[in-house]
Amino acid sequence: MKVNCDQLAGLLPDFFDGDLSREQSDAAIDHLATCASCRLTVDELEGVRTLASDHGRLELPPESKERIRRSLGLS
Amino acid sequence: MSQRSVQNPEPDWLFDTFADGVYTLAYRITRDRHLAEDVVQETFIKVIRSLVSYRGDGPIAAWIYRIGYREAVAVTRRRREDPLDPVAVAAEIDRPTESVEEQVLAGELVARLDEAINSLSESVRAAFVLRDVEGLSTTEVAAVLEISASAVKMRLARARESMRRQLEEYLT
Repeated sequence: MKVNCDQLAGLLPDFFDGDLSREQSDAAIDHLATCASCRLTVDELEGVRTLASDHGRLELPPESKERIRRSLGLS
Repeated sequence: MSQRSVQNPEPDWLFDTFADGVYTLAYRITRDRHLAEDVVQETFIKVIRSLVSYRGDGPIAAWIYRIGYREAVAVTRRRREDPLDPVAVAAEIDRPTESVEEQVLAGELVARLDEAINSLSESVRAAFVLRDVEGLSTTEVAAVLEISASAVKMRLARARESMRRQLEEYLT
């Protein structure tokens, strides 16, 4: 099995989830080994996921957390 | 963590474990910190009331985030239907913006990340936040949003591509 750039793009959600079949996974890796443009895209998409997990999360302000805890009757 | 089913979870534990995550989701949907805090409160009122009906037979994160997501969407809809609600407007006006210190700490990268997340449509944003910010599995995101796993993957592909284009300078 071989994939081109468009087909690889269609496989990427499953690629990131580790849900590709062995055959699809091998085809994706083969394509990435020879296509610098797709390699860059995959690296950048990985970068988006890293940025999101490292910087996208928020924390309730402590005073708000305490106020809500009290309103819920929690200790 | 997110995959776990939990038997007889304690309310304190649930709040400590999921309050920030629900707040993150709620803020990303409502784009308003005060509304997001209200969503957290309403969500946990419902969670604690419904604990008896949670049978520990599914991932607890998906159950809690689903309640939070519904609350956040409902609050956002109400605000759209009643945009001149004087209480809401006053809350917006009275609320101070982030302090200078917070702005400096947040930095340009975080500001650009926020901007990029906010530019996504609500449904795409929700899938992205749950999967890539909160770290739920695709199956759990599907359960929260009550859509198929393949629909989640389509939304994620759209979100990540849009984010990649907007944040390109920070990714290389």
